[in-house]
Order: sequence, then C-alpha cells, then structure tokens
Amino acid sequence: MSEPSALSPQPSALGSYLRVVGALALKDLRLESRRRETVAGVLVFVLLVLGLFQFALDFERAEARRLVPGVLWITLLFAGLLALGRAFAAERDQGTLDGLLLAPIDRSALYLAKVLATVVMMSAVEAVALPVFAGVFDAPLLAPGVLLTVFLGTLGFAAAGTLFAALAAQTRARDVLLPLLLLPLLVPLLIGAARATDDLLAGAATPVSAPWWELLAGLCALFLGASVLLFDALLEE
Amino acid sequence: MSSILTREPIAAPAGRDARRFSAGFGKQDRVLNVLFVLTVVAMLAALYAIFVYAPTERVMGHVQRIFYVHVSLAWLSYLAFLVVFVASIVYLWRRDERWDAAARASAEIGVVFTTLFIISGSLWGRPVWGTWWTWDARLTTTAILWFIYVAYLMLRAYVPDMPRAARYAAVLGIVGFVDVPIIHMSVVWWRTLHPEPTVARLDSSPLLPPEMLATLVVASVAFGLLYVTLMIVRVRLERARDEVRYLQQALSLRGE
Amino acid sequence: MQNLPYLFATYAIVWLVLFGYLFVVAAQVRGVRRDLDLLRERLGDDDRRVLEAAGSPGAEGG
Repeated sequence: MSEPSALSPQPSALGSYLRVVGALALKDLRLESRRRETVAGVLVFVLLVLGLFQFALDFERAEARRLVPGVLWITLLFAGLLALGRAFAAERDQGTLDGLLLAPIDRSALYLAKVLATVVMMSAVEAVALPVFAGVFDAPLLAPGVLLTVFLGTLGFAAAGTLFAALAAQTRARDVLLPLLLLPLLVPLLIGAARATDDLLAGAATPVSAPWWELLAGLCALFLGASVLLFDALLEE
Repeated sequence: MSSILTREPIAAPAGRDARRFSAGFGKQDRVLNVLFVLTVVAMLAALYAIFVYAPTERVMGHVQRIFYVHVSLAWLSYLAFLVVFVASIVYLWRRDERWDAAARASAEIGVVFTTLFIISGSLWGRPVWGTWWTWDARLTTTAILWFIYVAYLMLRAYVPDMPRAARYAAVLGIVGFVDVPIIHMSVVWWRTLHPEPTVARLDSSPLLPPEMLATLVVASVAFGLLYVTLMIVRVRLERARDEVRYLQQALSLRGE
Repeated sequence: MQNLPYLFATYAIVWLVLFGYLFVVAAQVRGVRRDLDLLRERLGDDDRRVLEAAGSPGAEGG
C-alpha cells in the first residue's frame, strides 16, 4: 500500500465506493429530471388512485380517519410498483446494462445507486402526495413521526423492490412477475407502516401498539443487506 | 413437460455434475421402496393414533382431530421451505444443479403441503368458530408463505432458461425464507391489536395432554417420511428432466 | 358428533391430494424415462462414447 502523500491523499476504498454509488444515482436522477416521465406519471397515478378509493369506498370525512393509513399505504405501494417498473427500463431500452456490467465497479454499487435513485424519486412524489392526502382527509400526515414512517417504508420498499425489479426486468412477463414476487414479501412492511401511521394519526408521538419503527428499520437492513449480497447473482451472463 | 420435440437451448450441466444424474432408477429403487413402505406403516400408525388413541377433545368433539394433520402439515411446510432456503444458498455457492433440483422439488412439495394446511384450517375453523377463514397469526403467516412460494414456482415457469432461472429462484428462495420470521412477528403484533374473539387455539395452549402430544408427534413423523419419499421421487424427476434437456442439446449440436 | 362431515372431508381431501400428487409425479417419471430411452437410442453408440468422454450422464446406462 503506497503512503498517502500530503498533497494527494489516497482515497479510501469506502469513499470511492460511495462516490461510484453517488455518480450512478446522479446519472439516473439527471436522466429523470430531464424527461420527468417517472415522477410525473407516478404522481398523477397516486392522485388518481386517491380519487378511486374515494369513489369505491365512499367515505365521509369522519369515517375516512380510520381508513387513511390503509389508503395511503396501498396507494404508495402500487405507485412504487410503477416506479420500479421503470427503474431498469432505461437500461433495457438502450442496452446500457452491458456497459455498466463491464465497468470495473462492484455490482452492489449499481444496486445501491438504483435504490437511492428510487428513494429520491418516490420522495419527490410523496412530497406532493402527502400534503394532498393531508388536505383531503384532514389528517396530520406531515407530522415528523409520519414522515419518518413514510421514509422507512419507502426505503424498505425500494431495497426489496430494486432487487426483484432487476430480476423481473430480465424475464418475459416482467409486469406481472414483479408484483407477484414483491408484494408477499412486503406484507410486514405494509403492516408496520400502516399500523404505525395509525398510531401516529391517533395522536401518539411514536408508534405505541408495537415496535413498528424497529420492524421497518429491521426490514430495511434485511433487504439492503441481502440484496447487496445477492445482486451479483442476478446480473451474471 | 419437456418432450423430445422441444428445442429450448440450454447450457450443458457442469462436467462433474453431469455424471451424477440419477438416471439409474434401478438399484436405487430399493431405498425408495423401503421408504415407501415405512411411510405407509407410519401413516397407518398415525391414523390409529389420531382416531383411536387420541382422546376426544371436550369442547370441540371429534372435529378437533383435524388438528393433528393441520399442525403436522404446517411443520412440514416450514421444513420444506427451510430446505428450499438451504438448497438455494448452496446452489448459489456451488452452482451444482443437484441443489437447484432439490430446491425446485421442495418448493413444489411445500406448496402442496401449505395448500392442504390452509384447507384443513378452513375446514376446522368452519364448524368450530363459524367462519371459513380466521386471521389468526399462524394461518395468516402461512397464507403469505403460500404466496411467496407460489411466486417461486411461477418465476421458474416464466424463465425457462436454465442457469438463469435457478439463480433467480435461489435469490427468491433465500430472501423469502429470511423474511418469514419478520412476517410472523408483524402478523402476531397485528393480531394482538385486533384479536379474534374466539381465538383460543388448542395448539397454542401449553396444556396439551400427553396423549395428544404423542399423537401429534406420530402424525408429524408420518408426514415427515412422506415428505422425504416425495422429495426423493421429485428430485429424481427433476434430474431426469435435466438429463433430457442435456441430451436434447447434444442432439441439436450434432445437427438433428 | 354433528361436525363429523368436516372431519371426513378434511382427511379425504388430504389423502386424495397427497396420493394424487404422488401418482402424478410417478406418471411424469415414467414419461421422462421413456424420453430418456428414446434420446439415448437416437444418439447411437458413437455419440454415447463421445458423451461418456465428455462426462455425460447416463452413458453408463441406467
């Protein structure tokens, strides 16, 4: 190992890894900010589904209170599926996946970059959707506890979703396969996020009915960790 | 499934692995025959235990005897999916197709057992608690398991290309199984929030009389032997199918 | 006593499905054995030797 000189310090391995992740994520985000296909489309979808729930469930303001967590999280779940469907679409359409794979980077960096980009894009959608939901349902959805829950849920969703989106993207019936693979695995995420939101909307500062935040955090760690280990196996020739 | 007429290009199996195809249904049949006989004997013993030896439950009556088959199937399902998990890990590590065949087989058998578990639970719940379905923790968790492993089977169906399908399925097999305890925890926490009014499950009571426990053990052993028998037959089927694919490719290389 | 139909239905379904499954798998095994024999026949002796050298499966016969 060469001595780091005072003038040009040796970059740490972790540092350059993170830089690669950041660069890849930035590439995706820059692409998105130019075309705005994913965020705009998903956002409109979210608002539309909100309307659909209203038409289907026909709730008055008073009853809606009980249903808000469920409606919110189901909507986010399906919106996320849409966003994931597009996560690898660019690489597939333009055939840039091979180029990325040939680059001398750890493939897990590609995975983390996709997760990061997905979280950022979903957060952009949520930044608009949450205030709208809060207004429509007259519910304090912008409280810090709720925001934390939404972040944890989004991160967990992106972590598991990116792994399986990469898998599904290389198969025939990718649109059908992704929900089938992902949704059963995400049941604990849905339960945790919805119940936590429920507790918070009822007035608690943190979830009280069960350690939901710990559950969500644990899921994030589990999915991120497992995916980092397994992502390689998905992209082999 | 694969007949001599389909021509899907697949990679030839690894050299060392290719020798181990159990194309020999010959002498290995002895093991299988013994196992089959053992299974039948165990099943008969279990039937006796369930219907003659086990005491009649006070509250539910004879319907409660479904419990023995219901819980046994649950345990065997979990075992089957554990096998999928382990086989998936070893497959990704060693890339030996035999482990993938084991995973495939165990997943399918596991889905069969899980389906029967859910059906038996439903048929038990209806007379005892009045509903065909209850959202109690075990039933709910196992239902989610059912979805995960059905997705596993569908994944294999959607990806015919062999080493790829094995890898993808292995990823699902690993992530799915690791998710199980978390699914269970989340459902248990959720159910304690909104408990079913009549959810005094006999099997969760620590006061299971010893005769019932013994019967449960006998039933579980019987189903366990059945699982092993099914696994052996099923894995042989998978390996034979692998060999068919391999030979087909050899034929097409030769230009037929 | 009045719930015996459920008891019977459960055990009937369980046995039917399990033995049905065993039966189906056994039938599939027979079918694949047929295919294997056909394939090995088509490959002929020369190729069998080649396959054996390359480490093929049932070249030693089953």
